Amino acid sequence: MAVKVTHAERAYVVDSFPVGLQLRTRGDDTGLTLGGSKRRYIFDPNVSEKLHPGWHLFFTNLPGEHAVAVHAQSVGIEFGFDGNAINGTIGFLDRAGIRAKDTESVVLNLDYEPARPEKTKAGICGRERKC
Amino acid sequence: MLRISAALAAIIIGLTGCTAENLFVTHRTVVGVNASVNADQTKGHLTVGYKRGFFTIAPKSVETDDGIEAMSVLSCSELEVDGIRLSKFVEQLATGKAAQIFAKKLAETDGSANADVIFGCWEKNDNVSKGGG
Repeated sequence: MAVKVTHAERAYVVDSFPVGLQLRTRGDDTGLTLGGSKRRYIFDPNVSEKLHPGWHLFFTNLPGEHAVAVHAQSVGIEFGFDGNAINGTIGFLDRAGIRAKDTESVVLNLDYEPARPEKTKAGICGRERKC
Repeated sequence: MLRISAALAAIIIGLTGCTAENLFVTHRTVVGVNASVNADQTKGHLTVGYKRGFFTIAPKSVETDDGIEAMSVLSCSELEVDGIRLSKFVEQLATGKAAQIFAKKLAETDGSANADVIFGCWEKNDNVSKGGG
């Protein structure tokens, strides 16, 4: 699977482009897609596991911590489970959002324009890092 | 271009009959067929065609000394879409203890605390209702 890494102004942005059947077990983007999709994971810039900017074809592990935001666009069949609901789509789906557990005390900021990922600003504290 | 801008203070929202344990601030556009059912299988929906939504779900599952309560959330959202695609998403959010402390500071200072330091929309949208809790 190919991923594109962008070190944005104040964010770490990873785009992945899975085609075919993809089973996702990440806590922030759990689900299954049959078709094609573009999935963008926006992390706090201080995330621990970073790849160099640019394209990566192999060894493309995403950071273990949850993304500040996930923006996914898919065409085909997609099933997702977000902890609250099971969702299924046939066709085109454009979904972007943030989530937090009910027990969390976090402060989160996001400034995101899909067409300009390099300008993304994202930050979260209270989860892995103190405010 | 459709522009949706909202400033929400001390939102406490819940879905009746849903045991959601996650807070969501989500934009979703669907063209085709979309169906969903909540974890309890007590609610669901089916969309055929086109649908776009922007919504916040705050869980009502926080355990406190007084029992189960809704999650405390301070949120400021700005969303822009171009056609069926998202073109901008700005979010400032505080949850749980952080939201309570922040709301308390606002109440103590009669809203004159440096709210815009975290919530950029606080000063931008003077015409929207503001509050703390």
